[in-house]
Amino acid sequence: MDRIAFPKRLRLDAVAFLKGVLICILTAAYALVVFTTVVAIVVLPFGNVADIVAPPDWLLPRLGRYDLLDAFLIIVFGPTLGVSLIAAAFALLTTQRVYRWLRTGVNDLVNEHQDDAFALVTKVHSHLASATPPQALLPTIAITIAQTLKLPYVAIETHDTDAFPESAFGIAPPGAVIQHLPLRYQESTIGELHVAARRVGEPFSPSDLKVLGDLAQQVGITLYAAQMTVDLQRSRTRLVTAREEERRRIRRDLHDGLGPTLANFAMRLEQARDSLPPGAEESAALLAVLTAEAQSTIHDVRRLVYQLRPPDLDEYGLVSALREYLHRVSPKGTTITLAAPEATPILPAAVEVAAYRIVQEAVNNAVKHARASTITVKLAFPQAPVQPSSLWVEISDNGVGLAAGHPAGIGLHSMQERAEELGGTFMIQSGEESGTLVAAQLPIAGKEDFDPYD
Amino acid sequence: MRRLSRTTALKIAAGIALVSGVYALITSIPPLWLGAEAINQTGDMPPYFVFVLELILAPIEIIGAFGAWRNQGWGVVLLLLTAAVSTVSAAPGILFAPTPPVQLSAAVSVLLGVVVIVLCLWRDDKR
Repeated sequence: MDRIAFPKRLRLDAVAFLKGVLICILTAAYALVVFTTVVAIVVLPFGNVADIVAPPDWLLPRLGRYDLLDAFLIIVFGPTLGVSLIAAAFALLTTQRVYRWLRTGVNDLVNEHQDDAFALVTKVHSHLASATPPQALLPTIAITIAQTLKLPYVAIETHDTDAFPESAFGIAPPGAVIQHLPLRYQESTIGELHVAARRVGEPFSPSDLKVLGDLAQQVGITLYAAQMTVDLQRSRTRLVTAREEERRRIRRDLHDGLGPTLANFAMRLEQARDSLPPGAEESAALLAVLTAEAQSTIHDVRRLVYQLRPPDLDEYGLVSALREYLHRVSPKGTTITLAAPEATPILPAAVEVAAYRIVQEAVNNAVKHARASTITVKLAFPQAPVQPSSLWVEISDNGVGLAAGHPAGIGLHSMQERAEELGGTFMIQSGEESGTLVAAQLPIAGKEDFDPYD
Repeated sequence: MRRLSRTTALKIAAGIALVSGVYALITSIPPLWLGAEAINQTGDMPPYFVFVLELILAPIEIIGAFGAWRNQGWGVVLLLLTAAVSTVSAAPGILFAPTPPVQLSAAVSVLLGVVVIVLCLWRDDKR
């Protein structure tokens, strides 16, 4: 559960304390003034006040210190018992109601949203705009609503719990009223907003409910847009994964089926040419042409196989393919190390290709542009071996880093795109003197849906 | 009938507070020259502490009126505090003021304080 940072909490506590002090001062003032007024109304028509409202004997030695306090002591204890009782009864009966009114008024005054629901919605929207990843949306909404409306508890529940698990902020005071507001987009309900009243015995006012209703509408629209974004990302990931799986299948068919068949065909042509009787020059020439064409086709198929997907991936697996690649490209004077777990799970083709290409690009940059003497490539599976949900790829070097403000080239964009199209993340840290760190997190969840050939 | 809006209510409260603050400032300074002894012995004036309190509260009330006029929360809080204190300090005057005009003045002060508080906490229904 999210918590407010300490200084903010302190500020909220100070505001709550000052609010309480203000309510107490106003209530006490009301009680004193109403008591005095009732005494005055009862006493004034009967002549000289000094004769009717006189301090009792026990009070006299205590008077004379503070004028205002003296006056109120005389007003409270001076009148006859009947007058005091009438005034006290009137004050007691009305003070509670006035206290409630004052409390609501002061709360509204401190909770500035009461004046302008539109301004509040705008404020919440500006917070939402800064929450870039869709997954960060619900916590941001909950925190923003709680802090803006000074509510102790806000929770948001959606129907798409995979993408948007329930998010709650704060704790509802025991016994406090909890209001449930549907989050809608057009005719469909896409979630629910739960908010707790500020304190026990103080239900939401009509204006509070109006503001919350307006907010729920806006949140519903925003949530719907976020769900669309997540769905779009899922579709994109599915497409990329399916594409890579298909490429793997085609490559396998070409490599294991068509390739050997063509090679066999070329070999038999050569055998046929060798077995021709002397004098059949024309047939020999024709068979020579056919053999050359078959060889050419074999080369085309091999080129196609290489272009579809790095062949080492299928032959050795990701880790060995990378080791082989790093060994191949390692220039003299540069140490390239690969740190990877011994056993790796079966990965979707798309993840393998993305990881391979990212490492290729980053190592190529480090060797060519950064002039690094040490390059380290790390592969890791967070949460392994139970259920690895992503592959972590990290490439660091000790070479010349990127200068501040250096524009990202095609290579960097390509690495970022490869990570993001799988729903992953990509980051690069670089300083002119501190080398470069490239890291990508590639989700591997959902592999089973798109890997029917393994 | 059209209900008073909060903005208008605050402007009215600020106006009342400004007039009452300026009036309190003007009327509280001259008696202070007489000194506490003289004021308390004349018998037809409010006690010395009332003038001192008015002199302290009046500038705060004027500043609060400025804030409330501009719809600022701090201005409203200042108005509420000054109205509460001035109401409490004026209330005993209704009973114990030496002359009927001073008694009436105390009652008016209490009434104005209550009006200012009510207007400062006025709520808009159509939100």
